[in-house]
Amino acid sequence: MKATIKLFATVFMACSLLAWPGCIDRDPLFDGDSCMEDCIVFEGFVTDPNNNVPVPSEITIEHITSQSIIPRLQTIGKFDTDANGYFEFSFDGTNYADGAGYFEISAVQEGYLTTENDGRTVTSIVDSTFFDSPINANIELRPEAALEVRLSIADPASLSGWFTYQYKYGATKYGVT
Amino acid sequence: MPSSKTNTHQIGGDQQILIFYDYTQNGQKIERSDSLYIRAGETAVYNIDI
Repeated sequence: MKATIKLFATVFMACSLLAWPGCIDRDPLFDGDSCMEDCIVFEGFVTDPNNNVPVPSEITIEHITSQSIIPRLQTIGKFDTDANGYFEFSFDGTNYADGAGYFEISAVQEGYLTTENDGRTVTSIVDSTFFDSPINANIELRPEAALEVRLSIADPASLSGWFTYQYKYGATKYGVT
Repeated sequence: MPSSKTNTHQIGGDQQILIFYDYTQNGQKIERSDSLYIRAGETAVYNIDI
């Protein structure tokens, strides 16, 4: 028991010191085209949804697990789409056969918006039943812009509670208090 | 004394967005909504005067 606690503490400290808030591995684990069997295959197009124009981009595939106290992030691959915004990336699925965690696939291109909610897609469960069949991972990349909200209150004493606003586009809603 | 505050958000351009806000003034709950078009590469300004 004592040894287990010591081991846990060591792992916890190592993860904390190296890559707070969790274990983060930024070096791509796979090259994307050498897997022969039991492969997970992601493919898709990156497009600007305003006009369906392809957006050639840099793609990053990450795997995130949070079953333990410390989330773990692994970079599966980092590569470029072709000129049509198309990508296909395959890798050995052996370590992901149980479907634990999820994959996050993000696209980056100058002049387009990639944030926590934009320019990325997140998979639901991907386990061994998906091996060797392409999984659609289309990504919408919108051109960058900004929204400036200016609030002026003539008589603050007349207000009670919070002032809140939200803005919404696509399927996402953002709230500010 | 009047007060003001400005927030800026990075957002996808060339699209219509919806904006909702609510507050309580003189004991009355007030809810408003509006829409505006955000152009790519630009900063859209939305003023709320209460």
